[in-house]
Amino acid sequence: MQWITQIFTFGIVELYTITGNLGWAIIIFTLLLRSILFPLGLSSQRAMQKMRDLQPEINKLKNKHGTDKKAMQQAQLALYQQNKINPIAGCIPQILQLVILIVLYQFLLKFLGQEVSNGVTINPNFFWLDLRHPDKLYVLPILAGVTQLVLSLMMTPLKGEQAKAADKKKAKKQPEPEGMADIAQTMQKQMIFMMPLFTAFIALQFPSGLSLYWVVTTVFSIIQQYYVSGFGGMRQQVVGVLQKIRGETI
Amino acid sequence: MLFALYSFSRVFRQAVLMSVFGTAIPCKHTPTCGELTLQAIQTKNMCAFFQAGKQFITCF
Repeated sequence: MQWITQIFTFGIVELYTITGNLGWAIIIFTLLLRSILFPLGLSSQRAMQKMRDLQPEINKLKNKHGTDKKAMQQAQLALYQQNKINPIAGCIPQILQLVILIVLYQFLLKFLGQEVSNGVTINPNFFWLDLRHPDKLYVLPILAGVTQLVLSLMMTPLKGEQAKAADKKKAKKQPEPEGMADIAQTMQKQMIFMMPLFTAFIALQFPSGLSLYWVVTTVFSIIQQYYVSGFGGMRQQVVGVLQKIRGETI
Repeated sequence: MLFALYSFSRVFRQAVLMSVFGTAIPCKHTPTCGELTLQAIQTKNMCAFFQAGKQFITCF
């Protein structure tokens, strides 16, 4: 993995020499990296969107085939082919993503700890920030948390009228013991609010250069998400929260 | 408890990858290798464990 780190270091040092500022170098570096990954991201995001739309039909297949896993897999693949969805290649891309993520963060942390890199003295000042230390004014941690919250809300699926009615029906029923699917769903809902808190906490602990990278990459993700599915379930979520607040106060 | 831990790690991984790369490519298998492994641990079924391993290897 040494060669990836060397490429990243070379790229960011070159950008620093061009811009003369580490903050702008990190921003341009992030945008370049995300632009390279954009085609892959866009196609898989579209596939994900289609898969999400097909979820009711997949649930029907699950009910139909029960414990017969082979039949279920075949039926699912046939459904994907019918709808021209290519679910890419299992877990390989995700493992690759995780490896790149680990290398990238190790590189950024190591790079921000150096005063001289590739023979170039790095000036870590960017506006009010010293990019080698956490933001003392808490602007970047707040920004990181807010952008993460917006992205999480945008990623929530848009609920149709039928799904809303089904939810209401379920809520009226006697409370049942939580099944596995319920636990997973609850976890997903909790993550919408937990992830921004976690991001803000990380941004408070680590050098602000890393937080700057996180904020820029999340903003890029928001734009990409908007391009694919608009605001998604964000409006519904916000309206739902506002209605709950009003309902409680009245 | 085990399932809750598994679900948390899965949702967390997807959320991190989504914000860093803009996408978290989902698994094409149903059930996934992780779900199969979890079932194998819960039922202490070695066959299910090998099935999960086989599915993971054929992914490559």
